[in-house]
Amino acid sequence: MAQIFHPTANAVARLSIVIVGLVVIGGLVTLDQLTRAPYGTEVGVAREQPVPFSHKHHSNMGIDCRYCHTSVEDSSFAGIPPTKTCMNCHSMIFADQTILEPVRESWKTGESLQWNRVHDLPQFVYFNHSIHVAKGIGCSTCHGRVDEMPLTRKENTLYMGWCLDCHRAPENFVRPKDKVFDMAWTPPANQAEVGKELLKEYKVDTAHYRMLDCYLCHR
Amino acid sequence: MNETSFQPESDVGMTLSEARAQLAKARGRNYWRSLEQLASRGNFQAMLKREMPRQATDVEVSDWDPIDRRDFIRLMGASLALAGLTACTKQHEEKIVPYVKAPEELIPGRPQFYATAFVHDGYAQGVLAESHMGRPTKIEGNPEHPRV
Ligand code: HEC
Ligand code: HEC
Ligand code: HEC
Ligand code: HEC
Ligand code: HEC
Repeated sequence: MAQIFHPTANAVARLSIVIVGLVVIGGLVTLDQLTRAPYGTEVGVAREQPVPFSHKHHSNMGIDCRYCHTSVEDSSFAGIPPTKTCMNCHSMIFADQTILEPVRESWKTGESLQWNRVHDLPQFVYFNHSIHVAKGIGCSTCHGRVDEMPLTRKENTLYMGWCLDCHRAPENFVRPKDKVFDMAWTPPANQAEVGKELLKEYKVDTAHYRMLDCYLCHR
Repeated sequence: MNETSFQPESDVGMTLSEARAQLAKARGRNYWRSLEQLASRGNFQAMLKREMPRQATDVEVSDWDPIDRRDFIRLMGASLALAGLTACTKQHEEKIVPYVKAPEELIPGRPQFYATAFVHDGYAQGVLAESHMGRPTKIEGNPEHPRV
């Protein structure tokens, strides 16, 4: 190999190579940390919405998620309620509140409300709600306590590693089907055994070549 | 063929003493790295242009030799680093635009299928249509239509 430093180079010059190395490593670590910090992941960051819709207030009334997210059990897409759903109640309740003006405007003009997406997978990823709901994965496992959120925010990164954490060991997260919409559900002490039983009951094929197959999500 | 036309002309090559004289002045970066580079100092460029006009344009950028290994690596390094940057942009924000009044029997995200018809040559032609949120994506003949 060729000589990097001339024999007359002093200690400072030699040290510079170490410093350059450290700067490069430092930069990469910073980038890596940024993508994992809320700045990159947007976890816990609430989005501006045309109407400050609060799941907290509406879930307190005991409305089921499916009243608004109608297709969550049948489709890849959970569904966002049409203006009509809001007007079912808000033609009477708060009918003259100014914060609800965009809703009434949409109802009058026929122009849709435009909500800002909170959870947004890249277009090259296939995700499907109905299979997860059908196999006993609850909303709160992925979305957190939505019923306590004044403005909707993300609870998890939705990074590939996060999906795989569960696809590798779904027995840690699976719950009885009648608890899927139960926001307050927490795993029981013996989740390890119960989980395995439930997976058997739901006929989940946990073989790694299936649950971790790239083609499952990238098709 | 006349062989003499391939002989380097006397003003093209470098004599040993010329090369020595040049190198005596050179320091650090200006030292030669290859015989080609050394040769390119003299009237080598002129000779190239005369003898091989096509290639000459490629080699002409004299102090920025295109086949220079360091420049090659420098460029590749830069393009790799810039390629990495594309992953540093954030996803652009997306909107969810629901219906104002949802049509009945529509499950958002799932296609709908209709047996319908369109007019062709004055006759109704039976077709099966696949529709995604109101947009037809596939139309094919309906084998059960009486006109088929
Ligand atoms: C009264 C109707 C209504 C009910 C009931 C409701 N939601 Fe929502 N939900 C909405 C609307 C409107 C939005 C879009 C605005 C927003 O993101 O806050 C939304 C957005 C969401 C989002 C974020 C979507 C995105 O942009 O990524 C999640 C997750 C969600 N709801 C989960 C739930 C869960 C879980 C429940 C049951 C506890 C529930 N919702 C009950 C109306 C409702
Ligand atoms: C089942 C009836 C019902 C439906 C459906 C409903 N709301 Fe409400 N909404 C209420 C009630 C009741 C309140 C008052 C809650 C309170 O003040 O605690 C309210 C309050 C609100 C408020 C005032 C701020 C707040 O959170 O207290 C907004 C904004 C709002 N709703 C938006 C919407 C939108 C947008 C939709 C449609 C996606 C919708 N609501 C659907 C019953 C409903
Ligand atoms: C396995 C994890 C997981 C579970 C369980 C889950 N979701 Fe989601 N949800 C997601 C992901 C990931 C997205 C983003 C989808 C996208 O960007 O295409 C999403 C998006 C949404 C949206 C926005 C509209 C859409 O479909 O893109 C709503 C509303 C929603 N979820 C509601 C719910 C409700 C209600 C439940 C419970 C019945 C639920 N989710 C269960 C992971 C999950
Ligand atoms: C909390 C657990 C959990 C999380 C988180 C999770 N999944 Fe799943 N996923 C499951 C289970 C359980 C199944 C059912 C497997 C089966 O029945 O074979 C499944 C199945 C799937 C399927 C298969 C659908 C089919 O047609 O076979 C896809 C695609 C999928 N998940 C995508 C994702 C993506 C993308 C993410 C991350 C955004 C994700 N999942 C996060 C538990 C999870
Ligand atoms: C359970 C679902 C799932 C499986 C299985 C899966 N991926 Fe992914 N993958 C994702 C999600 C979700 C993302 C998007 C993460 C993000 O938001 O940047 C992703 C992103 C990627 C990216 C792009 C990363 C980037 O930053 O642009 C590559 C490359 C990739 N996956 C390769 C693979 C390969 C190779 C396999 C098989 C070994 C695989 N994936 C299996 C869910 C999955």
